[in-house]
Amino acid sequence: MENNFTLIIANKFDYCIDSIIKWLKYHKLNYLVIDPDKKVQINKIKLNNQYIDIELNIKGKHVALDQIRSVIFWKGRIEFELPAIQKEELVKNMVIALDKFLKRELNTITQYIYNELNKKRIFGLCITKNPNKLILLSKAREVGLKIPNTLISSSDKIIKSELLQQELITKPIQEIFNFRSKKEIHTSFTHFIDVEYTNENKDLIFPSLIQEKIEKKYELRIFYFNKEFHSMAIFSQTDDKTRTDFRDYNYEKPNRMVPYTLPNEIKKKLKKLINVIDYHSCSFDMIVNMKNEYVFLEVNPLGQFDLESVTCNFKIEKKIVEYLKS
Amino acid sequence: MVYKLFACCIPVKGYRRSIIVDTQRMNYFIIPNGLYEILINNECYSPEKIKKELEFKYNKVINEYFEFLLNNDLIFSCAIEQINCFPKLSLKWDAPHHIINAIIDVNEKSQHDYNSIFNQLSNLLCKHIEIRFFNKVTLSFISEILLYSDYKSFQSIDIILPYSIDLSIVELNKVLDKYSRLTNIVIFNSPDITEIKNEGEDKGQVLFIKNKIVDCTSCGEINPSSFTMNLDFFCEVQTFNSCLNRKISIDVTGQIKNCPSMAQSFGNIKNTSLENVVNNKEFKCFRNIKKDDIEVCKDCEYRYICSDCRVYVRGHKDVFSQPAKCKYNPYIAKWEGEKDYVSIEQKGS
Ligand code: SF4
Ligand code: SF4
Repeated sequence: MENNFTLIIANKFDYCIDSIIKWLKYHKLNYLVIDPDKKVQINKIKLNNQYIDIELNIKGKHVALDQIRSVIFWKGRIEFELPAIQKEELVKNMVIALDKFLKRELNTITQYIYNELNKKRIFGLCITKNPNKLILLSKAREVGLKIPNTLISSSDKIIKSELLQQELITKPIQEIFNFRSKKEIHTSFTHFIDVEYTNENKDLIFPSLIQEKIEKKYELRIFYFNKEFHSMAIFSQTDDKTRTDFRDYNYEKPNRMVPYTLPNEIKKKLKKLINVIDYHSCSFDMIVNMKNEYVFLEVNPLGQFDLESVTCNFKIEKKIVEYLKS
Repeated sequence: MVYKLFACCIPVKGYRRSIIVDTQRMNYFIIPNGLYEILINNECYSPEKIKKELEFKYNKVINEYFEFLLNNDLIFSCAIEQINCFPKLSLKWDAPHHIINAIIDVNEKSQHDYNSIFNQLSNLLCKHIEIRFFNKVTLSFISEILLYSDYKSFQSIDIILPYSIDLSIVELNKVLDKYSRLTNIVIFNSPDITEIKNEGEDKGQVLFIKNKIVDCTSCGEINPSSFTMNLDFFCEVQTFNSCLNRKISIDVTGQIKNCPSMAQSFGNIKNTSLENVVNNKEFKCFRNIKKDDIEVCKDCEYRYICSDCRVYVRGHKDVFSQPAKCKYNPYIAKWEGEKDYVSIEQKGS
């Protein structure tokens, strides 16, 4: 492999990575993608008293640690190619125990490699553990950001009594649920809780996240990268189709989306939060409510940025590549 | 409470009238210059204040203006403390392609090595190619050429060819099916106009048109149907030429040019590499002729959504003249065919 290249650890078919790669090519910069189809072999990890040396074999390309200039961690992971292990003679419980053991062994190696890669110039976030959305929400509160009143409950009664007092929405706690079959696509977005729901009588429900419904003037999508905020306001209020979640896109008349400048006070709080959670880059979802208050909804270390990049002409991909090569 | 223009709706002033380009919904609205002045001279708008400034003489007109702006979703009401939160769009332009557009012309005498041409274009990260056949051509020949376009940088490919009785729709669709990046097949000299749109999102379309095309001189038409209202184009043409920026072409004889209709060649594809030509200073100079530099166009309200032509130009053939095939006179704001139209030659600025 050539020297000074960018290692991209990513998922397949990602628009953001695609557009970053275009700029890498444009500047004739070398890069190598590790996606889920590319299994990695370890040539060596040398730890001795003089130096540390790592060499991986990625689909026939031998890559040494010090050839890597920068790393993009984008929803991918390093997976190792493994030999088949003879298990026929083992009893079933033993196989399970052995699998667990081997997995932990591998994990330790991957974590160590990530640890070394993290010392390079980084874009994205090396996800070893998925950041917990509830912890993030509580941290946002701690730095002084306003958050929506939130309730998690598995009691039908408690949710109903809340519903009597105000309009509520529900959304997944951690991730967006995606299910594709040949016939249909199910995606969980944010939705109102219908009053009809109360007709159904169950005592115990699956623990669900309920939030007060905030009347918004507009939504903000904020991409933070290299000490800069790229913010976009989305006006979805006038359009019934997108009142709760603008991802339920209205194709005929796209919502108005325009660049936005955050007040310094909000920038300060967001920076505080970024320091606490230690992200290189991330995207925030916020709401400006009818009282002109800024309400924090969530932060995502690997949020897509293509929409604001194109709509507001931020050229985020270009800036990322300039950063990675600097 | 005051109003602000959405940043994606950009007013452009012409000699007689102006337009607001809605770069997001890809539309434009003709407005009087009076409204343009109001929009451009203020950060935000309060109808009451404007009425007062005009000594309440134009209340009805001002009401109409705001009704129009609101109905078309061009302005929004903004809290005073948030006026400064809504900046203008940056109009800086760049793209990760050394070549964005390539035209390859073909007639019965052409002997292009398509494999080599496509490879070279792909190395220049070319985004779009257009192959124009001026002679009768079989679909199997087109298919053969397109085989070389697989695994290249091209995001879209347009094919233009003359009508012939043995072109079958079924076969045309088969070609479209096979090459996902084939966007348009345009068939000219056709007896009627037909459009065969395909259901599939990523599939191209076939277009039969009556236009008579003999060679590259048919290029350079300017008309509203080819106006482009997106943000990328709007930004690009602030600084660069609306037709020739990052364009390259190979004419029927293999000459490498800015566009096939140009006289100047930068070498033949047989012995000159496209990359060398792209880096040639002289080759690049047309890129920088923007609409604001071009006579007549610089006074036209359509200048940032209009295409351009630097070959077929009006009058004394200065490289900064208005495209000859433009039928619009911005000094009277009329298209040819409209009542009281007179040409630029009869009535310029
Ligand atoms: S400069 Fe004129 S002739 Fe050349 S490609 Fe553009 S429109 Fe066509
Ligand atoms: S004068 Fe004609 S060619 Fe020039 S910008 Fe206006 S419409 Fe286009």
